[in-house]
Amino acid sequence: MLRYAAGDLEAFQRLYALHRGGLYRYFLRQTNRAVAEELFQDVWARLIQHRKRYRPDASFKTWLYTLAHNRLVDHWRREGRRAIDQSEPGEAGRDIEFADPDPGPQRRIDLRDCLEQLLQLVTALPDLQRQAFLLRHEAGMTLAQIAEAMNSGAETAKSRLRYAMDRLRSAIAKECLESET
Amino acid sequence: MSEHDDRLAELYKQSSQETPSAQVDRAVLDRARKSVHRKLYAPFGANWLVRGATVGVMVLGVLLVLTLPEQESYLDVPQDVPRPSSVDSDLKEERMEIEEPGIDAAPLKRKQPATQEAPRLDFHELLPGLEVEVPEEKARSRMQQAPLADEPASKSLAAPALPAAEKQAVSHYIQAGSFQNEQRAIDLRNRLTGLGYRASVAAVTLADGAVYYRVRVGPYQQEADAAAARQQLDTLGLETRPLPE
Repeated sequence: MLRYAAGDLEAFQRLYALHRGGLYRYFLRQTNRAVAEELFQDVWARLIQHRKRYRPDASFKTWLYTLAHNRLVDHWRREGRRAIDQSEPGEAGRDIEFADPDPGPQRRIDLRDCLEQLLQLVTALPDLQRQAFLLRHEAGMTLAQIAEAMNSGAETAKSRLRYAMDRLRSAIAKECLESET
Repeated sequence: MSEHDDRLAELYKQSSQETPSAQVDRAVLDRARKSVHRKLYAPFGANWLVRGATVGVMVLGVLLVLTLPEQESYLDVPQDVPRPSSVDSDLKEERMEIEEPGIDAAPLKRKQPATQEAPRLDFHELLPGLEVEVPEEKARSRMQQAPLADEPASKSLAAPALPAAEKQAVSHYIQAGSFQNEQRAIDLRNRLTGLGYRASVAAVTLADGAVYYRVRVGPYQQEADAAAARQQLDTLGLETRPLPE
């Protein structure tokens, strides 16, 4: 990033290639395609605009996803809703059960079903849990980095991630968790 | 538990494969390229572009001035056919003949050489070696556009009735907001109604079972009206989008 800030375009291209997929999916899971494309481009535009302000003491990834998190929260605010922080599982909220308790003999759950179901479940997570999950599994961040990008304490980040995983695990069809499926 | 988490992580990795479109990639990389280039080459780069463009526009302008009057004067030259004195009605006549060949095609055939051949010769003399298609097409499009602008009624008569009817049947809506909280949707609707918009709330259930309350404004018969209203709503700070209906 420092090399890009100094005018090295190739350095930017490498950073972009490395992070384009993860960042795009980070937005895609939380919005729709049109909005995701818009926010995705906004974040890169801001990064380009403020490249001189990059501090080498923060990891580039953390910086990128901090911009992304702020942009998303800003988008939600303009849309008239606030990020839903549901820190306790089981509170009233979007509780969705996708798993059909008895799939029946004619319809066995296969891998494709599992993948589809998981994506839907991730989309349906409470906002901040979903963010923590995506920072972990799209951006590959550590808990400390997640906390920094979401501007929260380390403990909060940890519990958000844990609740997200608990939710996914309990809602997804049991067959999907067996490694042989 | 943790092995289940690993399994979930693995499943998620398999399911989550989307990437931004090539168009989006290009937009971002272009922007980055420009940011670097501006810094390095701004002293010449930007200026030369502007100067080049200005020269180009001036050359084009001179060409147009040289060629256009010639075209018009040729359209005005009276032919041996009996024809009305006004150019407009003359052009209209031609157009109708193009649409319905077979009806009195004779005048058209006699006039076409006059409008096409003559300017071509003339243009060659003026600017030898230049491409002739541009002025020729210009003459033709002028011929066809003039009557359309003057006589919209004749156009709608000549056009098939179907597209017009379809256009009327389409209603355009704008989404002014989408909420999970019904009351917020109702509040926004009331605000919009208070401002004189036709607004309503519709509940939609997404694929994941979540219910959203969409506030929509409309219907508008014309797309242009919907677009204008959307701009107004945007100035209110709402994040709108068109809703196909």
